[in-house]
Amino acid sequence: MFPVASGGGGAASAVALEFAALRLYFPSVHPKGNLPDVVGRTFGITLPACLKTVEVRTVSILIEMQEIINEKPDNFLPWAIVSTVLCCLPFGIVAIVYASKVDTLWYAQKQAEAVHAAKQARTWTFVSIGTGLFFVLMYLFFMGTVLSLGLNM
Amino acid sequence: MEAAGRKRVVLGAGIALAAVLLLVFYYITDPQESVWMPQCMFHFLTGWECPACGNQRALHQLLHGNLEMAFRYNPFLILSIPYLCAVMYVSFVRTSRAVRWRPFVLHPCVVRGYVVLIIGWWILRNLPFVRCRLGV
Repeated sequence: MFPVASGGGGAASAVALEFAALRLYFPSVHPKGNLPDVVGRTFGITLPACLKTVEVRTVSILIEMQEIINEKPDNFLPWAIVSTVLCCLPFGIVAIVYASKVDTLWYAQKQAEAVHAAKQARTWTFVSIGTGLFFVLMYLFFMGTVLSLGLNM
Repeated sequence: MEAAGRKRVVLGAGIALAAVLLLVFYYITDPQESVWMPQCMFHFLTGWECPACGNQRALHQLLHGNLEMAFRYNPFLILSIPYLCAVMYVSFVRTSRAVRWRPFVLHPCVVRGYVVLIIGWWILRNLPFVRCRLGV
């Protein structure tokens, strides 16, 4: 059995779901039970040897804390999606692809590459939004010119 | 409150205000009627439709509660909104439930699947028979 306590007697399926979520953060966690080791190594701390089980709820708080302490780069995914949906530009798709890499790289201990991907995602999001705004202003200018000249489209 | 936290709050409030103003604007203005509503550059230049073409008209219909008309203008927008809400939830809400759902919603496979859907929808909506059927 993997050493994950359900934390308040949740259903077995809920525990399985939480463990699956942890596997995405810590790919090397094994159901046979090395969760304290892996969590400790990822956060750069030594968990006490007596700690055979780590509560999932505690781990999610630890994840949140270390993201703030180690300054995990913002992945910009929400804004990348918004810019793609609103501005309809290929740049938005580039931003989404970069944004999708950030968290995975971060938890694979590739911090420098994660920061680079985050910067790229940020840049392409702004390029996408900027291009969209530019075209909107161009369109308004164009229509304003046409209407003020009294042409009928 | 520290400076970074205050900046974050001000930025968040600004974005929320802009979003509400945009929604009110799209509620009032019907893009079908007004010449001032910007057209898609891709559509203007090529005559083909991009994945987001019809979004403005769909949003207007959606805000008026016409789900069917919104779906006819751009079904992909109606499918995108739930995913966008999920991404916003796991990114901006700091509860342990949101943190636990984050790796699923932001999983690279899910995000790339979404990108593949966008490109697939781009190709699909420009096929002649699909165009005729949606035809609005």
